[in-house]
Amino acid sequence: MRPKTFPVRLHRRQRLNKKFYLLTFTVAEPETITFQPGQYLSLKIAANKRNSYSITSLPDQKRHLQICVDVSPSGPGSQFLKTTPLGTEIEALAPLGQFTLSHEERPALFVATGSGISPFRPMITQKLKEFPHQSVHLYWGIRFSEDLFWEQYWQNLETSFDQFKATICLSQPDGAWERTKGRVTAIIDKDFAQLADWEAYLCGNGTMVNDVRQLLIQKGMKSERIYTERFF
Amino acid sequence: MADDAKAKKKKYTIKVDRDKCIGAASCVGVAPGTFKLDDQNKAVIVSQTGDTPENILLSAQSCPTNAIILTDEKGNQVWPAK
Repeated sequence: MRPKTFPVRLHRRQRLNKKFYLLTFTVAEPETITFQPGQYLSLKIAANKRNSYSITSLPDQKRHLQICVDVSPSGPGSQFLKTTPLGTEIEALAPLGQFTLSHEERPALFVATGSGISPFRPMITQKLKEFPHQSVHLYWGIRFSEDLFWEQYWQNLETSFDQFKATICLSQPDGAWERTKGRVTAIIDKDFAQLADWEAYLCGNGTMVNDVRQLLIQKGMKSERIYTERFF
Repeated sequence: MADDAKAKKKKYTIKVDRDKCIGAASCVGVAPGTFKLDDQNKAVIVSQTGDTPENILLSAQSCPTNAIILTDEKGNQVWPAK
């Protein structure tokens, strides 16, 4: 679908934790929105300013769009999305981007840091539905346990799909954290001896994307099967 | 002048800052006659008049890193806005 501009209304603003908000927009009739999991939208937050956000809702919700936003940078986008009254009409441009699923029947790694998890909710859900017998592993790196959200969502997917596994890695865990500690690169290096038959989707800070990409190639993954989206 | 040619009359000079480009490809989606991604996943210009000026401006505005620079016929930078 060719991207187009259309009005959306801010319908709901949900605080997930200190850093992250989930925002829901409605798409006014007669517009509908069609997108591929992994694509993003651009919101006009001021006369001369647009910000880009990965779409985190599922594509079958044709009249709603959701984005997950890290407001800790406190830039104009964060301020706008935190304070704009519900019901405000905003110009959106969507769908954008080429960070989409390969639709190949192959086991897949999904690796994210921070808000890079946003596109993975629709992407992983779609991947599991499309190929229910292929392994899908998610590695999500965040700093602190208080940054965590959507834990229940990933647990529900693990319950519904035997071949799905989610590993949350804290790089600065507090004493109470008993699960995986460290950076995603090191954890993946430890967990896999080789990845020749796999594909991977990497989303998050540029350093992680570069480091993990290099690691995966060293483990035998073909470079053309590594799909990346760098946040900045 | 035919409508199509009129619509795509050159209004902007387009440049891409490769150092800023992260291959997000919003420009390719909005103005596919103007941009494509090369083999390093960076945006390159296919044609300076591949799309209407309105779509070219929108493609520049949609770039998440402001890697697309537009100047007008007088050499004034139109986008990113100064």
